[in-house]
Amino acid sequence: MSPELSLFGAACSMNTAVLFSLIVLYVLLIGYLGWRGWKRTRSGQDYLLAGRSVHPFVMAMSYGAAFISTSALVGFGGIAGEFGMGLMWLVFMNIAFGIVVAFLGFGRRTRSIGQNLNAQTFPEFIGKRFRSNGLKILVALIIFLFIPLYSSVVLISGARFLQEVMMIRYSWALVIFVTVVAIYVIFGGLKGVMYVDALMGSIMIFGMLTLLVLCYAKLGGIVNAHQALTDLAPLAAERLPHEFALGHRGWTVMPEFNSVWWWTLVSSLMLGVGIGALAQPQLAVRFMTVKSTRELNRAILVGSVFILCTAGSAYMVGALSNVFFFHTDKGIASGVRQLAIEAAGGNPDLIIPMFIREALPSLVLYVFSLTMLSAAISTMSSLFHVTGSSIGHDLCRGISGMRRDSLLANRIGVAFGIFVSVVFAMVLPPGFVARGTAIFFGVAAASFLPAYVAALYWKRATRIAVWSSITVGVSVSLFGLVFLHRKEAAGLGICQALFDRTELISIHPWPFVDPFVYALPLSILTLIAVSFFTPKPSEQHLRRCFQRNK
Amino acid sequence: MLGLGDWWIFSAIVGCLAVTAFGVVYGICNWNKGGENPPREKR
Repeated sequence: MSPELSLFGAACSMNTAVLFSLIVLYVLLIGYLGWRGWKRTRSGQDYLLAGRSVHPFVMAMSYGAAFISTSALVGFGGIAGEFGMGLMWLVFMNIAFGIVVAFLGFGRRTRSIGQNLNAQTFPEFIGKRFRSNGLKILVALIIFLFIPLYSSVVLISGARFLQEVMMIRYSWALVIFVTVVAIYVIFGGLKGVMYVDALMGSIMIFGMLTLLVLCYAKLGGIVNAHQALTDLAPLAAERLPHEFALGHRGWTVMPEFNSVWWWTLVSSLMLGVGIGALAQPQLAVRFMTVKSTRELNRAILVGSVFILCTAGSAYMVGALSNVFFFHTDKGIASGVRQLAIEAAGGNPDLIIPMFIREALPSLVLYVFSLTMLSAAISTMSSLFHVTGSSIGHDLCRGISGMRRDSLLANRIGVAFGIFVSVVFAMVLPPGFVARGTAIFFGVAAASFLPAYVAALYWKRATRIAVWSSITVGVSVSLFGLVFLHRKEAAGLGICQALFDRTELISIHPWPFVDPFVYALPLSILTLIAVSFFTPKPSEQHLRRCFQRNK
Repeated sequence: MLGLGDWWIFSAIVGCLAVTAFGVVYGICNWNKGGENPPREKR
Protein backbone atom coordinates (compact mmCIF):
# COMPACT_ATOMS: atom_id res chain seq x y z
CA MET A 1 0.00 0.00 0.00
CA SER A 2 1.08 3.54 -0.53
CA PRO A 3 -1.12 5.79 1.60
CA GLU A 4 1.58 8.41 1.41
CA LEU A 5 0.41 9.37 -2.03
CA SER A 6 -3.22 9.65 -1.23
CA LEU A 7 -3.80 12.52 1.08
CA PHE A 8 -3.55 15.54 -1.16
CA GLY A 9 -7.14 15.34 -2.28
CA ALA A 10 -8.27 16.03 1.25
CA ALA A 11 -6.02 19.00 1.63
CA CYS A 12 -7.33 20.86 -1.39
CA SER A 13 -10.60 22.06 0.12
CA MET A 14 -8.99 23.42 3.28
CA ASN A 15 -8.05 26.97 4.10
CA THR A 16 -4.27 26.79 3.73
CA ALA A 17 -3.63 29.73 6.08
CA VAL A 18 -5.62 28.14 8.89
CA LEU A 19 -3.96 24.76 8.41
CA PHE A 20 -0.51 26.37 8.14
CA SER A 21 -1.08 28.21 11.44
CA LEU A 22 -2.24 24.99 13.08
CA ILE A 23 0.85 23.16 11.84
CA VAL A 24 3.14 25.94 13.12
CA LEU A 25 1.46 25.74 16.54
CA TYR A 26 1.79 21.99 16.40
CA VAL A 27 5.51 22.15 15.55
CA LEU A 28 6.06 24.61 18.43
CA LEU A 29 4.41 22.15 20.80
CA ILE A 30 6.63 19.35 19.48
CA GLY A 31 9.65 21.62 19.94
CA TYR A 32 8.65 22.35 23.54
CA LEU A 33 8.22 18.64 24.37
CA GLY A 34 11.51 17.80 22.65
CA TRP A 35 13.21 20.54 24.69
CA ARG A 36 11.75 19.06 27.89
CA GLY A 37 13.15 15.67 26.87
CA TRP A 38 16.55 17.24 26.20
CA LYS A 39 16.61 19.05 29.56
CA ARG A 40 15.92 15.79 31.37
CA THR A 41 18.40 13.66 29.42
CA ARG A 42 21.67 13.37 31.34
CA SER A 43 22.91 9.84 30.69
CA GLY A 44 22.84 6.98 28.19
CA GLN A 45 20.06 5.36 30.22
CA ASP A 46 18.00 8.57 30.00
CA TYR A 47 18.59 8.67 26.26
CA LEU A 48 17.82 5.01 25.56
CA LEU A 49 15.22 4.18 28.21
CA ALA A 50 13.91 7.56 29.34
CA GLY A 51 15.53 6.99 32.75
CA ARG A 52 13.24 3.94 33.41
CA SER A 53 10.70 6.24 35.05
CA VAL A 54 8.09 7.06 32.42
CA HIS A 55 4.51 7.83 33.44
CA PRO A 56 2.09 4.97 32.50
CA PHE A 57 -0.12 7.28 30.38
CA VAL A 58 2.91 8.48 28.42
CA MET A 59 4.18 4.90 28.05
CA ALA A 60 0.85 3.52 26.80
CA MET A 61 0.14 6.38 24.42
CA SER A 62 3.69 6.20 23.10
CA TYR A 63 3.40 2.43 22.59
CA GLY A 64 0.08 2.85 20.77
CA ALA A 65 1.18 5.84 18.69
CA ALA A 66 4.36 4.02 17.61
CA PHE A 67 2.25 0.94 16.81
CA ILE A 68 -0.44 2.65 14.69
CA SER A 69 1.02 4.52 11.72
CA THR A 70 -0.49 6.42 8.79
CA SER A 71 -0.47 3.15 6.85
CA ALA A 72 -2.71 1.55 9.47
CA LEU A 73 -5.23 4.41 9.47
CA VAL A 74 -5.42 5.41 5.81
CA GLY A 75 -4.00 2.33 4.06
CA PHE A 76 -5.78 -0.41 5.98
CA GLY A 77 -8.87 1.81 6.36
CA GLY A 78 -8.97 1.93 2.55
CA ILE A 79 -8.58 -1.84 2.33
CA ALA A 80 -11.61 -2.12 4.63
CA GLY A 81 -13.44 0.14 2.15
CA GLU A 82 -12.60 -2.30 -0.61
CA PHE A 83 -12.99 -5.65 1.17
CA GLY A 84 -15.11 -4.91 4.23
CA MET A 85 -15.16 -5.42 7.98
CA GLY A 86 -13.13 -8.65 8.04
CA LEU A 87 -10.28 -6.34 9.07
CA MET A 88 -11.94 -5.97 12.47
CA TRP A 89 -10.23 -9.29 13.27
CA LEU A 90 -6.94 -7.43 12.88
CA VAL A 91 -8.12 -4.89 15.46
CA PHE A 92 -9.02 -7.77 17.76
CA MET A 93 -5.56 -9.31 17.30
CA ASN A 94 -3.89 -5.92 17.82
CA ILE A 95 -5.65 -5.42 21.15
CA ALA A 96 -5.54 -9.05 22.33
CA PHE A 97 -1.92 -9.77 21.36
CA GLY A 98 -0.41 -6.32 20.75
CA ILE A 99 -1.66 -4.95 24.08
CA VAL A 100 -3.02 -7.53 26.54
CA VAL A 101 -0.63 -10.44 25.83
CA ALA A 102 2.26 -8.05 25.18
CA PHE A 103 1.85 -6.11 28.44
CA LEU A 104 0.83 -9.02 30.68
CA GLY A 105 2.93 -11.79 29.18
CA PHE A 106 5.94 -9.91 27.82
CA GLY A 107 6.03 -6.49 29.45
CA ARG A 108 6.50 -7.53 33.06
CA ARG A 109 9.31 -9.97 32.42
CA THR A 110 11.02 -7.75 29.86
CA ARG A 111 11.09 -4.92 32.39
CA SER A 112 12.27 -7.15 35.21
CA ILE A 113 14.94 -9.12 33.31
CA GLY A 114 16.04 -5.98 31.47
CA GLN A 115 16.60 -4.24 34.80
CA ASN A 116 18.41 -7.26 36.30
CA LEU A 117 20.82 -7.35 33.37
CA ASN A 118 20.96 -3.58 32.90
CA ALA A 119 19.89 -3.95 29.27
CA GLN A 120 19.05 -0.70 27.51
CA THR A 121 18.03 -1.81 24.04
CA PHE A 122 16.29 -4.83 22.51
CA PRO A 123 19.51 -6.27 20.95
CA GLU A 124 21.30 -5.79 24.27
CA PHE A 125 18.43 -7.52 26.08
CA ILE A 126 18.74 -10.62 23.87
CA GLY A 127 22.55 -10.47 23.92
CA LYS A 128 22.83 -10.20 27.72
CA ARG A 129 20.09 -12.75 28.39
CA PHE A 130 21.99 -15.35 26.34
CA ARG A 131 25.45 -13.98 27.19
CA SER A 132 26.49 -13.38 23.62
CA ASN A 133 27.93 -10.17 22.22
CA GLY A 134 27.66 -11.70 18.73
CA LEU A 135 23.94 -12.29 19.21
CA LYS A 136 23.51 -8.63 20.18
CA ILE A 137 25.32 -7.58 17.00
CA LEU A 138 23.22 -9.96 14.87
CA VAL A 139 19.91 -8.60 16.24
CA ALA A 140 21.16 -5.00 15.84
CA LEU A 141 22.20 -5.74 12.26
CA ILE A 142 18.77 -7.15 11.38
CA ILE A 143 17.14 -4.04 12.87
CA PHE A 144 19.55 -1.74 11.04
CA LEU A 145 19.02 -3.51 7.71
CA PHE A 146 15.23 -3.76 7.75
CA ILE A 147 13.78 -0.91 9.87
CA PRO A 148 14.91 1.93 7.53
CA LEU A 149 12.64 0.43 4.85
CA TYR A 150 9.70 0.79 7.19
CA SER A 151 10.67 4.22 8.55
CA SER A 152 11.19 5.58 5.05
CA VAL A 153 7.64 4.72 3.94
CA VAL A 154 6.29 6.54 6.99
CA LEU A 155 8.66 9.42 6.26
CA ILE A 156 7.38 9.65 2.68
CA SER A 157 3.78 9.70 3.94
CA GLY A 158 4.48 12.68 6.18
CA ALA A 159 6.48 14.54 3.53
CA ARG A 160 3.87 13.97 0.82
CA PHE A 161 1.22 15.28 3.15
CA LEU A 162 3.22 18.42 3.96
CA GLN A 163 3.93 18.88 0.25
CA GLU A 164 0.25 19.08 -0.57
CA VAL A 165 -0.89 21.00 2.48
CA MET A 166 1.84 23.65 2.36
CA MET A 167 2.12 23.58 -1.45
CA ILE A 168 5.88 23.11 -1.46
CA ARG A 169 8.22 20.78 -3.33
CA TYR A 170 8.53 17.20 -2.08
CA SER A 171 12.26 17.56 -1.38
CA TRP A 172 11.60 20.66 0.78
CA ALA A 173 8.77 18.89 2.56
CA LEU A 174 11.12 15.99 3.26
CA VAL A 175 13.77 18.35 4.64
CA ILE A 176 11.29 20.20 6.90
CA PHE A 177 9.71 17.00 8.14
CA VAL A 178 13.02 15.28 8.85
CA THR A 179 14.48 18.37 10.54
CA VAL A 180 11.56 18.69 12.96
CA VAL A 181 11.62 15.01 13.90
CA ALA A 182 15.42 14.73 13.88
CA ILE A 183 15.91 17.60 16.32
CA TYR A 184 13.73 16.19 19.03
CA VAL A 185 14.79 12.56 18.49
CA ILE A 186 18.54 13.33 18.40
CA PHE A 187 18.52 15.74 21.35
CA GLY A 188 15.49 14.63 23.33
CA GLY A 189 16.25 10.89 23.16
CA LEU A 190 13.52 8.47 24.19
CA LYS A 191 12.13 11.01 26.67
CA GLY A 192 11.56 13.51 23.88
CA VAL A 193 10.12 10.78 21.63
CA MET A 194 7.71 9.50 24.28
CA TYR A 195 6.50 12.95 25.37
CA VAL A 196 5.76 13.85 21.76
CA ASP A 197 4.18 10.42 21.16
CA ALA A 198 1.80 11.00 24.07
CA LEU A 199 0.65 14.27 22.46
CA MET A 200 0.35 12.57 19.05
CA GLY A 201 -1.57 9.65 20.53
CA SER A 202 -4.07 12.00 22.21
CA ILE A 203 -4.64 13.81 18.90
CA MET A 204 -5.07 10.47 17.11
CA ILE A 205 -7.72 9.24 19.57
CA PHE A 206 -9.66 12.50 19.34
CA GLY A 207 -9.42 12.65 15.55
CA MET A 208 -10.42 9.05 14.85
CA LEU A 209 -13.27 8.99 17.40
CA THR A 210 -14.66 12.19 15.91
CA LEU A 211 -14.52 10.55 12.50
CA LEU A 212 -16.41 7.43 13.65
CA VAL A 213 -19.14 9.31 15.52
CA LEU A 214 -19.75 11.70 12.61
CA CYS A 215 -19.77 8.78 10.15
CA TYR A 216 -22.50 6.92 12.08
CA ALA A 217 -24.47 10.16 12.52
CA LYS A 218 -24.27 10.81 8.78
CA LEU A 219 -25.48 7.29 7.93
CA GLY A 220 -28.46 7.22 10.31
CA GLY A 221 -27.06 5.39 13.33
CA ILE A 222 -25.17 2.17 14.00
CA VAL A 223 -27.71 -0.49 12.99
CA ASN A 224 -29.06 1.46 9.98
CA ALA A 225 -25.54 2.05 8.68
CA HIS A 226 -24.57 -1.63 9.06
CA GLN A 227 -27.83 -2.82 7.48
CA ALA A 228 -27.37 -0.50 4.50
CA LEU A 229 -23.84 -1.88 4.04
CA THR A 230 -25.10 -5.48 4.31
CA ASP A 231 -27.69 -4.72 1.62
CA LEU A 232 -24.91 -3.72 -0.80
CA ALA A 233 -23.45 -7.29 -0.77
CA PRO A 234 -24.93 -8.37 -4.16
CA LEU A 235 -22.99 -5.54 -5.79
CA ALA A 236 -19.67 -7.23 -4.94
CA ALA A 237 -20.15 -9.77 -7.73
CA GLU A 238 -21.81 -7.35 -10.13
CA ARG A 239 -19.57 -4.29 -9.79
CA LEU A 240 -16.25 -5.61 -8.47
CA PRO A 241 -15.46 -8.78 -10.47
CA HIS A 242 -11.74 -8.65 -9.62
CA GLU A 243 -12.38 -8.45 -5.87
CA PHE A 244 -15.14 -11.08 -6.18
CA ALA A 245 -12.68 -13.46 -7.84
CA LEU A 246 -10.31 -12.93 -4.88
CA GLY A 247 -13.05 -14.06 -2.46
CA HIS A 248 -14.92 -10.81 -1.68
CA ARG A 249 -18.55 -11.59 -0.77
CA GLY A 250 -19.75 -8.34 0.81
CA TRP A 251 -18.62 -5.72 3.34
CA THR A 252 -20.19 -7.24 6.46
CA VAL A 253 -19.23 -10.87 5.83
CA MET A 254 -15.92 -12.73 5.85
CA PRO A 255 -14.30 -13.51 2.50
CA GLU A 256 -14.89 -16.97 1.04
CA PHE A 257 -12.96 -19.65 2.94
CA ASN A 258 -9.61 -20.61 1.30
CA SER A 259 -9.85 -17.78 -1.25
CA VAL A 260 -6.92 -15.47 -2.00
CA TRP A 261 -8.32 -12.64 0.12
CA TRP A 262 -9.14 -15.06 2.98
CA TRP A 263 -5.49 -16.19 3.07
CA THR A 264 -4.24 -12.60 2.92
CA LEU A 265 -6.56 -11.57 5.75
CA VAL A 266 -5.78 -14.55 7.95
CA SER A 267 -2.09 -15.24 7.27
CA SER A 268 -0.63 -11.81 6.47
CA LEU A 269 -2.85 -9.47 8.49
CA MET A 270 -4.32 -11.39 11.44
CA LEU A 271 -1.29 -13.60 12.11
CA GLY A 272 1.59 -11.67 10.51
CA VAL A 273 0.73 -8.19 11.72
CA GLY A 274 -1.36 -9.23 14.76
CA ILE A 275 1.13 -11.64 16.34
CA GLY A 276 4.14 -10.01 14.68
CA ALA A 277 3.58 -6.90 16.80
CA LEU A 278 4.85 -8.88 19.79
CA ALA A 279 8.37 -8.94 18.38
CA GLN A 280 8.76 -5.33 17.26
CA PRO A 281 11.96 -3.97 18.87
CA GLN A 282 10.68 -0.38 18.96
CA LEU A 283 7.66 -1.54 21.00
CA ALA A 284 9.46 -4.08 23.21
CA VAL A 285 11.96 -1.46 24.40
CA ARG A 286 9.10 0.57 25.90
CA PHE A 287 8.49 -2.11 28.53
CA MET A 288 11.91 -1.30 29.97
CA THR A 289 11.09 2.39 30.37
CA VAL A 290 8.73 2.07 33.33
CA LYS A 291 9.57 1.93 37.02
CA SER A 292 7.41 -1.03 38.06
CA THR A 293 4.68 -3.42 36.92
CA ARG A 294 2.11 -1.00 38.33
CA GLU A 295 2.80 1.31 35.38
CA LEU A 296 2.29 -1.62 32.99
CA ASN A 297 -1.05 -2.51 34.63
CA ARG A 298 -2.23 1.06 34.15
CA ALA A 299 -0.90 1.18 30.60
CA ILE A 300 -3.06 -1.83 29.57
CA LEU A 301 -6.15 0.28 30.14
CA VAL A 302 -4.92 3.19 28.04
CA GLY A 303 -3.38 1.01 25.31
CA SER A 304 -6.44 -1.16 24.63
CA VAL A 305 -8.75 1.88 24.43
CA PHE A 306 -6.23 3.59 22.13
CA ILE A 307 -6.13 0.75 19.56
CA LEU A 308 -9.91 0.34 19.57
CA CYS A 309 -10.47 4.05 19.01
CA THR A 310 -7.83 4.53 16.29
CA ALA A 311 -7.54 1.33 14.22
CA GLY A 312 -11.12 0.23 14.99
CA SER A 313 -12.55 3.59 13.87
CA ALA A 314 -10.48 3.63 10.67
CA TYR A 315 -11.62 0.16 9.55
CA MET A 316 -15.29 0.73 10.39
CA VAL A 317 -15.32 4.10 8.61
CA GLY A 318 -13.51 2.62 5.60
CA ALA A 319 -16.13 -0.10 5.15
CA LEU A 320 -19.10 2.23 5.85
CA SER A 321 -17.89 4.78 3.30
CA ASN A 322 -19.46 2.48 0.65
CA VAL A 323 -22.93 3.36 1.97
CA PHE A 324 -22.17 7.06 1.78
CA PHE A 325 -20.80 7.00 -1.75
CA PHE A 326 -23.52 4.69 -3.07
CA HIS A 327 -26.47 6.49 -1.55
CA THR A 328 -25.50 10.13 -2.00
CA ASP A 329 -24.78 12.41 -4.95
CA LYS A 330 -21.09 12.45 -3.99
CA GLY A 331 -20.61 8.94 -5.37
CA ILE A 332 -22.37 9.50 -8.68
CA ALA A 333 -20.17 9.62 -11.77
CA SER A 334 -21.65 9.81 -15.29
CA GLY A 335 -25.09 9.16 -13.80
CA VAL A 336 -24.00 5.85 -12.17
CA ARG A 337 -23.93 5.28 -8.42
CA GLN A 338 -20.48 4.16 -7.25
CA LEU A 339 -19.00 2.10 -4.45
CA ALA A 340 -16.13 3.56 -2.41
CA ILE A 341 -13.36 1.88 -4.40
CA GLU A 342 -14.96 2.99 -7.67
CA ALA A 343 -15.29 6.58 -6.43
CA ALA A 344 -11.61 6.45 -5.45
CA GLY A 345 -10.63 5.46 -8.98
CA GLY A 346 -9.51 1.99 -7.89
CA ASN A 347 -6.98 3.31 -5.34
CA PRO A 348 -7.98 2.14 -1.82
CA ASP A 349 -5.60 4.67 -0.26
CA LEU A 350 -7.89 7.47 -1.43
CA ILE A 351 -11.06 6.12 0.20
CA ILE A 352 -10.63 7.55 3.73
CA PRO A 353 -9.38 11.03 2.64
CA MET A 354 -12.14 11.24 -0.01
CA PHE A 355 -14.81 10.25 2.48
CA ILE A 356 -13.63 12.90 4.93
CA ARG A 357 -13.50 15.56 2.24
CA GLU A 358 -16.93 14.76 0.79
CA ALA A 359 -18.92 13.72 3.84
CA LEU A 360 -17.73 15.66 6.84
CA PRO A 361 -17.52 19.33 7.90
CA SER A 362 -14.30 21.16 6.94
CA LEU A 363 -13.33 21.41 10.61
CA VAL A 364 -12.87 17.63 10.61
CA LEU A 365 -10.35 18.02 7.79
CA TYR A 366 -8.09 20.05 10.08
CA VAL A 367 -8.43 17.49 12.87
CA PHE A 368 -7.79 14.70 10.38
CA SER A 369 -4.73 16.48 8.96
CA LEU A 370 -3.17 16.74 12.41
CA THR A 371 -4.17 13.13 13.12
CA MET A 372 -2.33 11.94 10.01
CA LEU A 373 0.76 14.00 10.80
CA SER A 374 0.71 12.65 14.35
CA ALA A 375 0.46 9.05 13.18
CA ALA A 376 3.41 9.56 10.83
CA ILE A 377 5.60 11.49 13.28
CA SER A 378 5.07 9.17 16.25
CA THR A 379 5.82 5.96 14.35
CA MET A 380 8.76 7.49 12.52
CA SER A 381 10.43 8.93 15.61
CA SER A 382 10.25 5.55 17.37
CA LEU A 383 11.78 3.82 14.37
CA PHE A 384 14.53 6.44 14.10
CA HIS A 385 15.31 6.01 17.77
CA VAL A 386 15.46 2.20 17.68
CA THR A 387 17.58 2.21 14.50
CA GLY A 388 19.93 4.80 15.96
CA SER A 389 20.33 3.02 19.27
CA SER A 390 21.07 -0.22 17.40
CA ILE A 391 23.88 1.57 15.58
CA GLY A 392 25.23 3.81 18.33
CA HIS A 393 24.73 1.60 21.37
CA ASP A 394 24.76 -1.99 20.07
CA LEU A 395 26.75 -2.17 16.84
CA CYS A 396 29.48 0.39 17.65
CA ARG A 397 29.98 -0.74 21.24
CA GLY A 398 29.59 -4.41 20.31
CA ILE A 399 32.18 -4.28 17.55
CA SER A 400 34.67 -1.86 19.17
CA GLY A 401 34.42 -3.47 22.60
CA MET A 402 33.85 -0.06 24.27
CA ARG A 403 32.57 -0.51 27.83
CA ARG A 404 31.34 3.00 28.57
CA ASP A 405 28.12 4.25 27.06
CA SER A 406 28.36 7.54 25.24
CA LEU A 407 25.47 9.97 24.82
CA LEU A 408 27.30 11.40 21.81
CA ALA A 409 27.67 7.96 20.16
CA ASN A 410 23.94 7.34 20.62
CA ARG A 411 23.09 10.72 19.10
CA ILE A 412 25.41 10.10 16.15
CA GLY A 413 23.79 6.66 15.73
CA VAL A 414 20.30 8.20 15.62
CA ALA A 415 21.49 10.85 13.15
CA PHE A 416 22.98 8.12 10.94
CA GLY A 417 19.77 6.08 11.15
CA ILE A 418 17.78 9.14 10.05
CA PHE A 419 20.23 9.74 7.19
CA VAL A 420 19.80 6.15 5.92
CA SER A 421 16.00 6.47 6.10
CA VAL A 422 16.11 9.75 4.16
CA VAL A 423 18.27 8.15 1.47
CA PHE A 424 15.72 5.31 1.16
CA ALA A 425 12.88 7.84 1.05
CA MET A 426 14.57 9.73 -1.81
CA VAL A 427 15.73 6.85 -4.00
CA LEU A 428 13.21 4.04 -3.59
CA PRO A 429 9.83 4.03 -5.35
CA PRO A 430 6.94 4.06 -2.82
CA GLY A 431 5.67 0.64 -3.93
CA PHE A 432 8.99 -0.98 -3.10
CA VAL A 433 9.22 0.71 0.25
CA ALA A 434 5.70 -0.36 1.16
CA ARG A 435 6.63 -3.94 0.40
CA GLY A 436 9.68 -3.39 2.58
CA THR A 437 7.30 -2.67 5.49
CA ALA A 438 5.61 -6.03 5.05
CA ILE A 439 9.00 -7.69 4.73
CA PHE A 440 10.21 -6.15 8.01
CA PHE A 441 7.12 -7.22 9.98
CA GLY A 442 7.43 -10.81 8.74
CA VAL A 443 11.18 -11.07 9.21
CA ALA A 444 11.13 -9.46 12.67
CA ALA A 445 8.36 -11.77 13.88
CA ALA A 446 9.83 -15.01 12.50
CA SER A 447 13.34 -14.25 13.69
CA PHE A 448 12.85 -12.44 17.02
CA LEU A 449 9.64 -13.86 18.49
CA PRO A 450 10.87 -17.39 19.45
CA ALA A 451 14.11 -15.96 20.87
CA TYR A 452 12.22 -13.24 22.76
CA VAL A 453 9.69 -15.71 24.26
CA ALA A 454 12.51 -18.08 25.21
CA ALA A 455 14.43 -15.20 26.82
CA LEU A 456 11.43 -14.48 29.01
CA TYR A 457 10.08 -17.93 29.79
CA TRP A 458 12.36 -20.85 28.88
CA LYS A 459 15.45 -21.29 31.01
CA ARG A 460 16.60 -24.32 28.99
CA ALA A 461 17.03 -22.22 25.80
CA THR A 462 20.71 -21.97 24.85
CA ARG A 463 22.81 -19.37 23.10
CA ILE A 464 23.50 -21.61 20.07
CA ALA A 465 19.78 -22.45 19.80
CA VAL A 466 18.85 -18.76 19.72
CA TRP A 467 21.52 -18.08 17.09
CA SER A 468 20.13 -20.98 15.00
CA SER A 469 16.50 -19.91 15.51
CA ILE A 470 17.14 -16.31 14.43
CA THR A 471 19.18 -17.48 11.42
CA VAL A 472 16.44 -19.93 10.35
CA GLY A 473 13.72 -17.29 10.89
CA VAL A 474 15.51 -14.71 8.71
CA SER A 475 16.56 -17.21 6.02
CA VAL A 476 13.17 -18.92 5.64
CA SER A 477 11.33 -15.57 5.64
CA LEU A 478 13.60 -14.17 2.94
CA PHE A 479 13.38 -17.40 0.91
CA GLY A 480 9.58 -17.28 1.13
CA LEU A 481 9.48 -13.64 0.09
CA VAL A 482 11.87 -14.08 -2.83
CA PHE A 483 10.65 -17.44 -4.16
CA LEU A 484 7.20 -18.33 -2.77
CA HIS A 485 4.93 -15.40 -1.82
CA ARG A 486 3.61 -14.03 -5.12
CA LYS A 487 3.26 -10.39 -4.12
CA GLU A 488 6.92 -9.94 -3.14
CA ALA A 489 8.37 -12.58 -5.49
CA ALA A 490 6.77 -10.90 -8.50
CA GLY A 491 7.88 -7.45 -7.31
CA LEU A 492 11.49 -8.47 -6.72
CA GLY A 493 11.71 -10.55 -9.92
CA ILE A 494 14.59 -12.75 -8.68
CA CYS A 495 12.58 -15.99 -9.02
CA GLN A 496 11.52 -14.94 -12.51
CA ALA A 497 15.12 -14.27 -13.51
CA LEU A 498 16.46 -17.53 -12.07
CA PHE A 499 13.65 -20.01 -12.80
CA ASP A 500 11.54 -18.20 -15.41
CA ARG A 501 8.42 -18.29 -13.21
CA THR A 502 6.85 -15.86 -10.75
CA GLU A 503 7.01 -18.26 -7.78
CA LEU A 504 8.38 -21.76 -7.22
CA ILE A 505 5.10 -23.35 -6.02
CA SER A 506 2.00 -22.22 -7.88
CA ILE A 507 -0.47 -24.64 -6.26
CA HIS A 508 -3.19 -22.78 -4.33
CA PRO A 509 -2.93 -21.46 -1.62
CA TRP A 510 0.89 -21.36 -1.37
CA PRO A 511 1.48 -18.18 -3.44
CA PHE A 512 -0.80 -16.33 -1.00
CA VAL A 513 0.35 -17.82 2.32
CA ASP A 514 2.51 -15.32 4.18
CA PRO A 515 6.07 -16.65 4.77
CA PHE A 516 5.56 -15.85 8.46
CA VAL A 517 3.16 -18.84 8.66
CA TYR A 518 5.91 -21.38 7.96
CA ALA A 519 8.99 -19.37 9.00
CA LEU A 520 7.79 -18.93 12.60
CA PRO A 521 7.09 -22.64 13.32
CA LEU A 522 10.43 -23.60 11.76
CA SER A 523 12.19 -20.99 13.88
CA ILE A 524 10.44 -22.32 17.01
CA LEU A 525 11.28 -25.97 16.19
CA THR A 526 14.91 -25.04 15.60
CA LEU A 527 15.10 -23.29 18.96
CA ILE A 528 13.63 -26.26 20.83
CA ALA A 529 15.61 -28.97 18.99
CA VAL A 530 18.99 -27.24 19.21
CA SER A 531 18.46 -26.34 22.89
CA PHE A 532 18.14 -30.02 23.81
CA PHE A 533 21.36 -30.90 21.99
CA THR A 534 23.51 -28.15 23.46
CA PRO A 535 24.79 -27.60 27.03
CA LYS A 536 22.44 -26.00 29.56
CA PRO A 537 22.97 -22.32 30.42
CA SER A 538 24.69 -21.57 33.72
CA GLU A 539 22.42 -21.71 36.78
CA GLN A 540 24.11 -18.67 38.27
CA HIS A 541 23.35 -16.57 35.20
CA LEU A 542 19.73 -17.75 35.14
CA ARG A 543 19.32 -16.84 38.82
CA ARG A 544 20.58 -13.36 38.02
CA CYS A 545 18.17 -13.01 35.08
CA PHE A 546 15.06 -14.23 36.88
CA GLN A 547 15.72 -13.06 40.43
CA ARG A 548 12.64 -10.82 40.53
CA ASN A 549 10.36 -13.34 38.83
CA LYS A 550 10.23 -15.95 41.54
CA MET B 1 -26.65 -8.79 14.95
CA LEU B 2 -26.47 -4.99 14.70
CA GLY B 3 -27.30 -5.16 10.99
CA LEU B 4 -24.19 -7.20 10.17
CA GLY B 5 -24.41 -10.02 7.63
CA ASP B 6 -22.13 -12.59 9.23
CA TRP B 7 -21.55 -14.07 12.69
CA TRP B 8 -17.80 -13.90 12.11
CA ILE B 9 -17.84 -10.13 11.69
CA PHE B 10 -20.23 -9.75 14.62
CA SER B 11 -17.85 -11.90 16.69
CA ALA B 12 -14.88 -9.75 15.65
CA ILE B 13 -16.61 -6.56 16.80
CA VAL B 14 -17.84 -8.14 20.03
CA GLY B 15 -14.34 -9.59 20.52
CA CYS B 16 -12.77 -6.12 20.09
CA LEU B 17 -15.17 -4.62 22.64
CA ALA B 18 -14.71 -7.56 25.04
CA VAL B 19 -10.92 -7.52 24.98
CA THR B 20 -10.92 -3.72 25.39
CA ALA B 21 -13.32 -4.09 28.33
CA PHE B 22 -10.94 -6.67 29.81
CA GLY B 23 -8.06 -4.21 29.43
CA VAL B 24 -10.04 -1.44 31.11
CA VAL B 25 -11.27 -3.62 34.00
CA TYR B 26 -7.82 -5.16 34.49
CA GLY B 27 -6.22 -1.72 34.51
CA ILE B 28 -8.71 -0.38 37.07
CA CYS B 29 -8.53 -3.46 39.34
CA ASN B 30 -4.73 -3.46 39.32
CA TRP B 31 -4.27 0.31 39.30
CA ASN B 32 -2.14 0.35 42.43
CA LYS B 33 -0.73 -3.17 42.35
CA GLY B 34 2.86 -3.97 41.47
CA GLY B 35 4.38 -0.70 42.74
CA GLU B 36 8.05 -0.52 43.63
CA ASN B 37 7.58 0.75 47.16
CA PRO B 38 6.82 -1.91 49.79
CA PRO B 39 3.41 -1.56 51.49
CA ARG B 40 3.36 0.40 54.77
CA GLU B 41 3.23 -1.70 57.90
CA LYS B 42 -0.09 -1.68 59.72
CA ARG B 43 0.06 -0.16 63.17
